[in-house]
Amino acid sequence: MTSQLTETDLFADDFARVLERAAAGPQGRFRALREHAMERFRDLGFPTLRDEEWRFTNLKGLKRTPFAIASPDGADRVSPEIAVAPGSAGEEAARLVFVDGHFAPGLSHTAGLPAGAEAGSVAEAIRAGREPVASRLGAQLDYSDDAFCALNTAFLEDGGYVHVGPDVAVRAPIHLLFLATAGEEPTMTQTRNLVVAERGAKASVVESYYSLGDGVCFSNAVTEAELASSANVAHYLLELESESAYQVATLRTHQEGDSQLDSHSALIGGGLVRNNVHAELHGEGADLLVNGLFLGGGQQHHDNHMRVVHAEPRCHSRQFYRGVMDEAAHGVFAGRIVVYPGAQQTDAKQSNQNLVLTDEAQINTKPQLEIYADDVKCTHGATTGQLDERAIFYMQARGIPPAAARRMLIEAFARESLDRMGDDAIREYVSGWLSERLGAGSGGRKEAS
Amino acid sequence: MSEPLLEIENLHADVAGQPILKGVDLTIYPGEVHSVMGPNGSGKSTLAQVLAGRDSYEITGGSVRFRGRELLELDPHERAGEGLFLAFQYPVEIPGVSGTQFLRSAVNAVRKYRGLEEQDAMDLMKMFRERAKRLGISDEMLKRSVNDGFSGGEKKRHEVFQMAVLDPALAVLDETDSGLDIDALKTVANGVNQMRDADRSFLLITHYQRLLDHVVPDHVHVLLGGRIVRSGDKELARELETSGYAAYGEPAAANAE
Repeated sequence: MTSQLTETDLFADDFARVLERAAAGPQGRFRALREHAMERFRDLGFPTLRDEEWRFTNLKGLKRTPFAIASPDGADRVSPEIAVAPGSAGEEAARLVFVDGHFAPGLSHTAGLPAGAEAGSVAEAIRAGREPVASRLGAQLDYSDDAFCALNTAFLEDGGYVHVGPDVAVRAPIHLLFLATAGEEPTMTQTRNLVVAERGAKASVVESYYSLGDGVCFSNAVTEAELASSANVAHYLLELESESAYQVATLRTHQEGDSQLDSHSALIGGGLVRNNVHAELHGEGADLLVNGLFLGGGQQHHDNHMRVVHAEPRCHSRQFYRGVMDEAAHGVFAGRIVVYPGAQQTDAKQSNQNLVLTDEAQINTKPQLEIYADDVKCTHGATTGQLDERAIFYMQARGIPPAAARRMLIEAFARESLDRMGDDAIREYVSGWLSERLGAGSGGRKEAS
Repeated sequence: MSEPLLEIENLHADVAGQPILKGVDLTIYPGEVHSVMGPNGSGKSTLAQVLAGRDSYEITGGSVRFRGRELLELDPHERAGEGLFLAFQYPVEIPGVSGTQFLRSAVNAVRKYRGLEEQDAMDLMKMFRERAKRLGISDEMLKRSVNDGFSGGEKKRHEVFQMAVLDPALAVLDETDSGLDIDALKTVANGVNQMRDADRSFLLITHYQRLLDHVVPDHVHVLLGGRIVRSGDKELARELETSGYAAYGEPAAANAE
């Protein structure tokens, strides 16, 4: 049932089990896709520190842990009250809950979706041969150089899909909530999500990850998002798992002309987290915002890997990532802007700003440009600093204790990322997590200093 | 006579191993306005920073008692809690923290230190607006990040506004008059005069006499080479204005302000 991750036969038994489970129903093209992806994953193996894109993230712990694929009955062990608790207090058009990667219909609803919009389980859509999952899921995703995307595709079973029809606007967010039971036995989940916004469609999709226990779990999630012309999608990734969790979250997006995508990430929880945002602009006038905040303490490791491809002329992209590293946390930001030949009048900007609060904490930041067109405006920059000691003294001189002063300064630094989040309820929700994290971390512990 | 509010005795302080204060003695009673004057490098600002608790200064001798407590043993925020306020010579910019949020935190931190309940945000806002108005501080300025992008004069007015909000027992104003035009100087002086009462005391640290035309001190001290070399009444300030500090023989110039 469990498998040591050796380089020769990674997850062989688990893979056989997934194929067996899938064989119980119709699976269309997915069987061949899984097998092809598994073969690719076996060839690639997990990345190592020698891999340029993984230089700062050591996967030794992940490789050594004997993960088993989570059983599909996790939902039976979760009470509805627990599944309701996480999430913003705001209205939701739909909530799809997944327990250990498997859809939990009893905990989910889609009551607020307007006509022309749907959301549901990928597994059910595959069984029913339902579009857009049946023909579009995985059709464009290139995993040839990405072991985690290959692994995810090999184990592709369930996740959430969202389909918004032409000119349909979904006002309230659609929430995909992933709960890991995180018990004694290390488990892995390979979530696969699909968001398709047709021409002129509008929606917000929240992907949030929580662990219910403190056990070790590994979540390898891939979300594909396709935006047709003039579509408008906001995507939120909220990583709120325990510090025993390994997470690789990959967002791959494809935008047509005049579409607008806002990608927001808040990495607050998780032990080792790799956040990939790989966005491609394939139509003139497409607009992209990549906004993120990562806040680590303890031994947390947050690795953000951004790749923005300008494939067509006159697209606009903005990347803003802010990191706060406390205690012995390690942050990574690697961002690359790629401008294809002919993608003239590209306007791309990337900025990464970091606060490093202790001598043990560290950040590696690596902004990169790769430009093959000559009429473009591309800028990038990174800064790393400490809290302003003069400001702390100034605040202290007004009666504010040093721990509270530090906390206010960190919140002020993070506020800029939060302010870019368009949905009030989500922003408030993330802000609440941030305050809680700071209250438990740098706020209190530094009191004695 | 009542108990002294502040008693500085034989205070010595170093910066980076360099002695700056070399035995300062100063006693302030409730309700008094004192002015410490002196040329650049005499130790005026060091005195202000040491009183507020800046840790880049090392106290090498002497004592400071404030309302009967040993001030030097308290952390800076505790000193504020006890009722000490320092208007900074160079107020610090705090991007991302609004003036109202900053002051709300400050007022409530001080209240908590004194064992009082937090004050309601609405009531505080009302109080801020009312005190801001007197100092020509707009609502818009209150909402902006603390000192962020403020002009020199705006920063100084904001210091006096913070003083009015925090209602200290002793306010130390470190060259609050420097860099102000005459109108701003009058605004600042009015802010101080409005707060003068029988209990509250002020220590005005200044290079020039001109602030003292508007805020008339009870006592004037000349600080030179890290020591108070002469004390007198307001006439001493006028005398200095005409004769300068040269009359005091300028002991070996200190190295830091």
